[in-house]
Amino acid sequence: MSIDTIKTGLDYSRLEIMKVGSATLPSLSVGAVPAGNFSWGTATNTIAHGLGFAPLVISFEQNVNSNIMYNDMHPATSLFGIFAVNRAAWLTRHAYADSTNVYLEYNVLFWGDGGLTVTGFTIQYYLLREVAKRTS
Amino acid sequence: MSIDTIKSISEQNGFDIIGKGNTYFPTVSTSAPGAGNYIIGNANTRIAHGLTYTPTVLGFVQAANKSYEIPFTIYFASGATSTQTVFEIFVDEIYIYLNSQVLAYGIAGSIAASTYEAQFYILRDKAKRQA
Repeated sequence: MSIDTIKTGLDYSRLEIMKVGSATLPSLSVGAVPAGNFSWGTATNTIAHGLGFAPLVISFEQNVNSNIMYNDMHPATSLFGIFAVNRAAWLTRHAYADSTNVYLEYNVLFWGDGGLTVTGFTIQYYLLREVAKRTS
Repeated sequence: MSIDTIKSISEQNGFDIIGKGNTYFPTVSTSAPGAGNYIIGNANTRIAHGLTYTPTVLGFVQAANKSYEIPFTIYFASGATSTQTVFEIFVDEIYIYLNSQVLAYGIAGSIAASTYEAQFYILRDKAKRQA
């Protein structure tokens, strides 16, 4: 376990933006459960990026839903709401990528009596690649 | 608290990578807390970065041929049990810390060894190098 290089002088590499995009995720309903039980759900928007390698991805959320105004840097995890003494929900949003697609996703964990519907929102994403120092 | 400058395109700044590394997040294993109870498990590993200041670090989790932003959270739920697994990265002027954490309700929680690998970049504002 080590850090490869702490470079000095002007010999730097960079993270460059290969692609930028945005997409709106669908709303998500997590199943109704009896009091004292959990349910969870995932909404994913899959987008082909065409790069031919797995890029690094950073993302931002840009929307307003019925409960919270968002303009967050991702990933973000929050206590989505405590709706009663016996109902609570957690929300996590993130982006990830492989060599074919970028995946924009959020997950809801719900505890309590009944179910929950979360309104979708828009995510802006940047696909990055490490590049060596430019010589020109 | 303020934003120093919103620069024009011709003055665009950026981040230089002054170091990078990969290592696995530490394993975590908790006992079963019993029905209706929570338990938390936490483990840290740290890596000396060799700088004399606290740098900016950007990290990703590599797992199953995918690259996830950090912090990365995984939820699991089944009946009256659940787990929330969180991977974090933070830094001070000496070390980069990788933190694995599991909050489990009604069941034991765990993070398997050699499963979630951190990829991190130590960044520096390009303007600081030019100054």
